[in-house]
Amino acid sequence: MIALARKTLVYEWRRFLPAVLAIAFSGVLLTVQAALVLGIFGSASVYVTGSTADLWAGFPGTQSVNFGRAISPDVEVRLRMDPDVTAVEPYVWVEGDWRDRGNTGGGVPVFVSGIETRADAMMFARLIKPATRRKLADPGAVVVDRADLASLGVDDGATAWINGQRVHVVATVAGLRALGGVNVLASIDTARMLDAADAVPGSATYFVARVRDPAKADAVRQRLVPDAAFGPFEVWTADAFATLSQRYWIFDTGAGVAVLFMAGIVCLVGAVITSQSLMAMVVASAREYATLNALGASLSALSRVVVEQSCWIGGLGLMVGGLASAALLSIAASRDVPVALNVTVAAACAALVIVLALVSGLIAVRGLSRADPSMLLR
Amino acid sequence: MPIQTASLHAPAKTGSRHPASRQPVARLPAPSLEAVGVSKSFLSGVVRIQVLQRLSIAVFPAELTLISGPSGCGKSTLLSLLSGLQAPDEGEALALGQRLGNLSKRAIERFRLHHTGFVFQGFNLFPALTACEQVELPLGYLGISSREARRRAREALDDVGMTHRADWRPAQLSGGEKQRVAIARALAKAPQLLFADEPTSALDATNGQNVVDILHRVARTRGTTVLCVSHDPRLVRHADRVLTMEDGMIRGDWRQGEAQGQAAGVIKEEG
Repeated sequence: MIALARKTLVYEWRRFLPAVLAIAFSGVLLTVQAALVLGIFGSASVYVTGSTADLWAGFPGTQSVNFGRAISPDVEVRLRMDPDVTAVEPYVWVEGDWRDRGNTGGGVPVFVSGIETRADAMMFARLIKPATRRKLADPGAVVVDRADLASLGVDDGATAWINGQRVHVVATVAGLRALGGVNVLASIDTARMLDAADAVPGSATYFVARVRDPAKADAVRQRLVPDAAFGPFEVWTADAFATLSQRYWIFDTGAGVAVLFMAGIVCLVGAVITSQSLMAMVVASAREYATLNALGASLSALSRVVVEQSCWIGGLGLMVGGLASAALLSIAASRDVPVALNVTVAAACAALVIVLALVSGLIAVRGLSRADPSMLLR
Repeated sequence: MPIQTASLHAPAKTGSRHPASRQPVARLPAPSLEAVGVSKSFLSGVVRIQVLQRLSIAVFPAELTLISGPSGCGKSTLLSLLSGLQAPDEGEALALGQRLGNLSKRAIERFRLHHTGFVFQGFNLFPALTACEQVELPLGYLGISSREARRRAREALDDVGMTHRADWRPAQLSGGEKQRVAIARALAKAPQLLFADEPTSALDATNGQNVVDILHRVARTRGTTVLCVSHDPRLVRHADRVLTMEDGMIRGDWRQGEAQGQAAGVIKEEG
């Protein structure tokens, strides 16, 4: 069987190029948008994903990490009572107002994360080296993201004020950017010092725990049922808590709807351009298709040629779009633009692009209605 | 009053359609194409134009039959009805004994696939395919293996003297060469019916002659029914039978070696 679809595509590639580019651009827009969403809203859970803890205990009903409220130090005891829990450490969340040394340029809202300074501590273990963590033991020492230095109005090593208390930047790290403010790492003592509210001594916003076998984290969580004797608390696995925080930002803030709306528009525009290019190709070849139909090739066989072409266009567009997206995302990542992509989302984008091409092909099949062989008789 | 340029006798249903008095007619085989009282009209804006009026005709195998007449006389419409590309408003078209009106759209496509070849005025070749691939393409829809299709395509190209251009694309071919490829494409599946619509109109004298010779040869050597619509006078000289049409009616029926108006197979019924 002569591969009419493929041979036409190769021979007349210039005429198919707009359709391939439309698909590729749709792919790039979808992927980059998804990566930005994951990158930006992924930072809502950087506290969880940047740490090695398996379980998080916090105030019941907490929707996102940044909404934590103080829980009793007794919760730490409850966690330690479970035989599978091997380590527990407190995590103190303090919201503050950052002012640079000269107190110029107004305040910047900051989220101070008070963490253990022991080398084997779990909080932010994926983001900071043990040496950096050790530096936090110094009272008033803080670590910030290098990309936030400009907005904080400081350099590495500079001093500044949080909630009227003096702090100094001892190191910078990457990957610590936050939504709606700036993340600042400090020791638990420094964080408690900066806390303007009178907290119960020994209380923390969260207690995080490590379990013997991370695969059994959920089983351990199920054992840690709320118990009035230890005050109000709820336990999540790290994965569940990270997802909970991201979901809150993506769906409950309306940002997700906006993103889905944009994705819908991208698909619509892509489908219109691709189907129009394909339709133009079909109409331009209407006489040839009509001749084939006169010779007995059924309309469904001719439709298959058009759909096959749209599949090739989809595949080529996917390749071009995939390479372009990878290049753009790596440039973005190297410039500290918050982008992140996982296999599931990338596969979903690819699937959407293929569906887009197929739908365009099916729309373009309508162009075959002009391939009526009786029009060839004059 | 009927115009007495064609023999008047009953169509297919009567059994013997050729009265004994018309001797040359008696030698003719059964018709391979028949139109029985077909009418066809088209809507042009708000005006309905009657193109064919209760026209009956029989066309025979192993002949090059030419329908000639001025533009708009309905000759192409008649070809489209006899080839199953369109259905008549009334009456019926029979091809190889099958009533085309009884067939579904899909069945008509299948019928065309197995039995008919077409040559059009425009060559309608796919720009991306070589001459050989153009000819192979329809064979693929018949379920013929690639190897066999290639062999048949080469043979068909050889028949029309285009072997030396087998690997050329349409853009590299002259008009005459393109038409010969188009004929090879129609012939490769060895159809019993070959329809040609103005096949020489776009060609110069030599190429036109070439095409006429090929069509004539196909009718004679393969027994194919070749029905050709044209107003090209060159074709008239080479046709075995010439039907002249005007205003949707057959006005004349002439056969090689017969006096005008004596040929059989044409029935004109006046409404």
